[in-house]
Amino acid sequence: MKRRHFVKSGATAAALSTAVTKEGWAVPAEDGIELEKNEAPTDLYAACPYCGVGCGTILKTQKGRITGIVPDKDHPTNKGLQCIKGLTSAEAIYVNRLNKPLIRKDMSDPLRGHVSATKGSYDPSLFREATWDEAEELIADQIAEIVKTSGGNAVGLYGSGQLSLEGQYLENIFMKGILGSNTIEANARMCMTSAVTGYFKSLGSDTPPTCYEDIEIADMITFWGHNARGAHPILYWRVADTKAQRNIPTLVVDPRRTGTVMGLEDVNKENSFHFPTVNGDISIHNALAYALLENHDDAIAWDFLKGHTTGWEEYVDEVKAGYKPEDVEDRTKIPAAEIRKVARIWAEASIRGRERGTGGVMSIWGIGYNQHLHGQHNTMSLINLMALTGNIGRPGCGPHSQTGQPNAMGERLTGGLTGRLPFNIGLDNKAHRDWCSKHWGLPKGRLDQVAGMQNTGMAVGMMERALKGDVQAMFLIYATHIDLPDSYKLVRPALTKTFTVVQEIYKDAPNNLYADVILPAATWGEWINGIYVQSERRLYVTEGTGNPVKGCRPDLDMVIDKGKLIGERLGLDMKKIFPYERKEHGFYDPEEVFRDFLKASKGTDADLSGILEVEEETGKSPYQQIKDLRGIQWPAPTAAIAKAGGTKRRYMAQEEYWPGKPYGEFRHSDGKLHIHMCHQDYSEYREITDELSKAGTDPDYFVTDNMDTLVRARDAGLTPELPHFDELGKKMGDCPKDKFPFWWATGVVYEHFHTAKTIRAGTTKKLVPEMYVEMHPDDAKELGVKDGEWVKITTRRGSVEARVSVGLDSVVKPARNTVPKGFLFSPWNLSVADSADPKKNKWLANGTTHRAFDPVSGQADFKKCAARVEPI
Amino acid sequence: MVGLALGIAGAVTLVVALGMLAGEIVQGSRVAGANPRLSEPRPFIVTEKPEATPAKGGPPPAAHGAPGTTPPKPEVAATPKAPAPTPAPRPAPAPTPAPADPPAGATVASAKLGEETYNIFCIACHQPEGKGKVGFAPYIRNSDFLALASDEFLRQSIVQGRPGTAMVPWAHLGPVKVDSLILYLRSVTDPNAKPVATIDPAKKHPGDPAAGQALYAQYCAACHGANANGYAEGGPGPAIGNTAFLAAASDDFLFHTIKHGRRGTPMMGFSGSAGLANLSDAEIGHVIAYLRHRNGETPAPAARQADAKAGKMHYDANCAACHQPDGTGRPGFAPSIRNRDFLAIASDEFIKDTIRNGRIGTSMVQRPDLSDQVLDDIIAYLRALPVGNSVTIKVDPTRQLAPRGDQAAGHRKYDLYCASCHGMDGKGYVEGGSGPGIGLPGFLRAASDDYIYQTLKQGRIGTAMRPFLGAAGLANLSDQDAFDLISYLRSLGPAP
Repeated sequence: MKRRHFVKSGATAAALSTAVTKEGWAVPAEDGIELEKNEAPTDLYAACPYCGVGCGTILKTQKGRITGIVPDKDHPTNKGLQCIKGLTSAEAIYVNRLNKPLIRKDMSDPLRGHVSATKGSYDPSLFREATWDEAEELIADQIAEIVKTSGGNAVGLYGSGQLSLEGQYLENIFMKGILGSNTIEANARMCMTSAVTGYFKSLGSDTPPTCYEDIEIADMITFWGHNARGAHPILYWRVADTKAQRNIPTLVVDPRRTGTVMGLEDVNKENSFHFPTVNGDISIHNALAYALLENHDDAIAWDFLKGHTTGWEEYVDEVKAGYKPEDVEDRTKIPAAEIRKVARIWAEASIRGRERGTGGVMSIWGIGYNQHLHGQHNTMSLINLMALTGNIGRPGCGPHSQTGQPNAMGERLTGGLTGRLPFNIGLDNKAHRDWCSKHWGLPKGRLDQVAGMQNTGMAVGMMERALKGDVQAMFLIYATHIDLPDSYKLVRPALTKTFTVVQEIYKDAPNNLYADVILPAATWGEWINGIYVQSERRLYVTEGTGNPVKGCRPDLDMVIDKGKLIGERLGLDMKKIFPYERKEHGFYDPEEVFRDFLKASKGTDADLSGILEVEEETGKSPYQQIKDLRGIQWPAPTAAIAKAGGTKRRYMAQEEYWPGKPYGEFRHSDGKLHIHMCHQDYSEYREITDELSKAGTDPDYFVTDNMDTLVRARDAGLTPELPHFDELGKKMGDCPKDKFPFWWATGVVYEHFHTAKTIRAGTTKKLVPEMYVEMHPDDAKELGVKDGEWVKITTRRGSVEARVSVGLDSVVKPARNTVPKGFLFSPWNLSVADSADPKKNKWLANGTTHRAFDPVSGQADFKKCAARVEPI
Repeated sequence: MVGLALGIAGAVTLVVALGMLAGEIVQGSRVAGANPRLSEPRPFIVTEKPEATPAKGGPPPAAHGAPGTTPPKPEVAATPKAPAPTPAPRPAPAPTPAPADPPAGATVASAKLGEETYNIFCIACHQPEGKGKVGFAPYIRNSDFLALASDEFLRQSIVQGRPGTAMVPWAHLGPVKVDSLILYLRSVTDPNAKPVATIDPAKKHPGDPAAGQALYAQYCAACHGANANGYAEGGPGPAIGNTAFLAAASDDFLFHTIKHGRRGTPMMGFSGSAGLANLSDAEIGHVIAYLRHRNGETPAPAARQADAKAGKMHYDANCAACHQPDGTGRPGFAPSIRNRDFLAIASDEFIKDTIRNGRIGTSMVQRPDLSDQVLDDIIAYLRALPVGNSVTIKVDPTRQLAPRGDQAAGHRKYDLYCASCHGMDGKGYVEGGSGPGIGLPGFLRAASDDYIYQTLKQGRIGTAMRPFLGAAGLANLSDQDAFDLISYLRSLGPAP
């Protein structure tokens, strides 16, 4: 198959250096990085490449290079503010970049039963440089053969919430439509799917009903499992500001005293509440509900329950029967008097909001809350509580999930997950399969086939299937494998066996260790444009220079090319499925893809076709509309709604006039909010966690073969492990090697986002340069360790080295949080900040974590493992 | 207070009449002399001192003729004007003279007077209640700011302004009003305000400018601009490299600002784990040293073609607050300067003259600090804004039309056709009119006779200024009517 013309890469011999430098990584920007051109437009408008707040930012360029970031003072989300990560994001772009496809000389070849002997290393001598043609042909050959031999479902893909929406949309078509695979996953699975599946069960659709403006209206704001100060700083500062201005009460539910807890107390200690629970969220919801039912009948929204929900009677009965605050302290970990005190505050805020018609309680949660093996139930029981107190369906209140990544919501919206299709409808919906088929130009029946395929266990399951040989090829697209749990026992052995294709930007990215083929990608800021969707459903543009590092290609272009190449080999008419051609500037036009996406959304609850109507009426392109409005919140089903910036709030008729709206007050077919009781029961805790401890320690134990155990664990609201609390108090080194006394949680730190870019940006790296573990002073004393000392944290599966950080005066930066006794916390961001080379890498956080996941959401529990502190 | 009884328009006029601005407006006797119909003293003039004592500031402007006399008609064709295509830049006018002393009853500074003053002069940029607007004007009624800013700092900022920015000097308000403004600012109540530091204006925070330059680039430039020029560089932060600012701000003021931030603004604190970034005291010292070291130096950019995109940035920073983000203005508040007909009639020179010299007597302050490049960019931006069907109008700035008109007849016609929108005295918005001040000296000095004629003929599409000439006009005026009107207007102020 002859390749069509594409951008010539030109002479690269002088600029290219595949030799690993003396340091191995993090080379300074002057390492000969060459760009395609030396000019590019400046003042480019983009959503920040990092967290899911979605700050508006302006890129400055000089001579074709991005030189700086200016926060966009006119963007409604951040209004001229940005955190240190976004402000310095330009520093990570021209560092250590790949610029040529690389092919591993000794590739894994599952069809012929060959496992590469060199995986686990990215030493350049193990690779050979290749042209794009050669690399793409090789990939196409392998993939097509695997599909023909083992079926499409033997090919897996791990995509990303940092990929543009256009790229995500096409990757899903590539996997489900072209390859015929249901084994498509994304890092949203490790981030948001508990919220997703919780929303589906309760509200009928994956739709946060709220918007950021509710912050400035709410009468009370609660944070659940969310260190917003660290993870979503601009959102946190908005909450702190409104608290300072309006003196509203706040509640933070988090084991630690984080910057969020302390910052809000700084504003006003009197009305800042903190529930330092570990795992007790569901019981806390139910205990609050109990206290409200018992003492604050006027706060209960009986009319709302009766008229707009189902399942409320059973919920009320079961709460009353089992969740008296005094009876569940073992689970809530909060004294009953505190629960009752907060219940009173909650009641007052709810009543105030209801009477005024705006306001009430707004509950915000983050990734920590989702990362539980009962994450879906976490979301559901929170929504239950909100429904009970009528805190949904008007401005200033409601359940609000914060997305971790800048475009994880795009992943959800495009349906790039097992069993999903775009626009919040599942693969199991025949009518929607036909609809998508039609829009995607697929042959009849292709999606029906895919609907019958299983990928039990979703992301973790995909890796377990790979261990078993059931998944034979893996694409890693803008997603690092080190965000999955149990790296040493699960993920890395899996990727060693599969034929692994990665699209990466950095020479020493950890994905490269397991890649058979590496394709050099353009990164945020370098592609022409693409849509990012942030937490309040706001679509925004990501304009870029269109001038990537020479030799790199945007991920969007790669999926179109591979789709065409492989699709033709599989006998598909690719002109119908991917009718896109490269433009004069050498790239595909993302806006063409975006238009197709908009067209296909018509009639769904994520209908954005109003944008196309506006284009017809005024000639203004979709990207221009979105840019001028500083974002459009989906849905935007009519031109009028699109012109107004989309839909601020969902459900209970808060949408604007929408003829043919495909649902009533809520997205369930009965138009109601569905309440399902969620429980927490620790009576079989030890038994269940003992069995789960086999995951990652017993090579014959696959969690996906024991889904019923996961279901039991989920139904009881347990954790993957249970520490041996009796062993606390011993000196370091004295704890037996089969005991793990501490709770061990991993999360994020304000100065970093994920594991790749901020550790390469000089400023953020300097601010938090090394792996640390937050420890309580009494634990440090008992262990005999000092602040600043290096220790080893060991779980059943692996270990990390980390510097002990005790208290707010710690010599270790950032010294922003404190932990309770018996609890250890480290950020996962520094995972490869020492080196991605496994021979040197001592900080790999997910080498220690547990692969147990929520049986419905697929989300793993990174927050509650059991660990031991050992000397190095 | 009598002025308040007249409502806002009256109050505005009152303040204006109190000689806040150019002397010629307030010489009630002159106005009375030129306009017999207005010879009855209006209530607010009763309380005014007849002879203004010039206070600090420049000398009073030359009166246009002795009080009570009619200014002479402009010469006809005695010295034909050169064609206007690229005239020599107009020299900046004399500094705005000091006002008359405030009338009896306003010699004591008060927060109330400050609030009134604020709501007239400061509000257009600093917004109601001093809340400011990100990227446009700072939040000055901010408790964190006020905790660090001494009275002297505030006074200096108001009186001397920030030359090089839209914050012009306001010395002409007079000491009572300036002190009142300070009282008003400080009267903000913030129950959560926590005093974070006491400034020691003598304390120095030494540092290394070279280290500070690197830190500035890392932590400050994104918001305050690569050249520390603030809003003019398109960012959300003010110009902390501004020489007037640095002259007023002590090291300790800068130090504590950087350390603690300004709650309620994007300026977070930069110290400790709660900060946007954790800078040490020494590092903050380096940044201060760098700011002082650069001393307002900005590399002079090479001259280049006018750029509409840059013009938008300058427009947003300097003009948008009044003329609105899309240039369409607000009736009774700021004219539409993207108006098709306006731009067809107004030459580039007219626009530049207007921006540089302002419109004394209104909120359109003078901006002699803006460079030619900036003005060219702004004009390029305005002229690039899309219009429906375009028009071409030839304006001949040499055409002398006033001599062909009768001033007295023009006055009658003015009162009949124009005064209801443009005010009895032609002062426009400040008289409460919906139309701008066409009798203001600044306007009259910039607008040629033909400019006025063509405006009467064309109108301003989409605004209340309809065409007035001919049967299609609002009043079916003849050319002679137009000449009479122009003649009358010329009696109100100087000619170009």
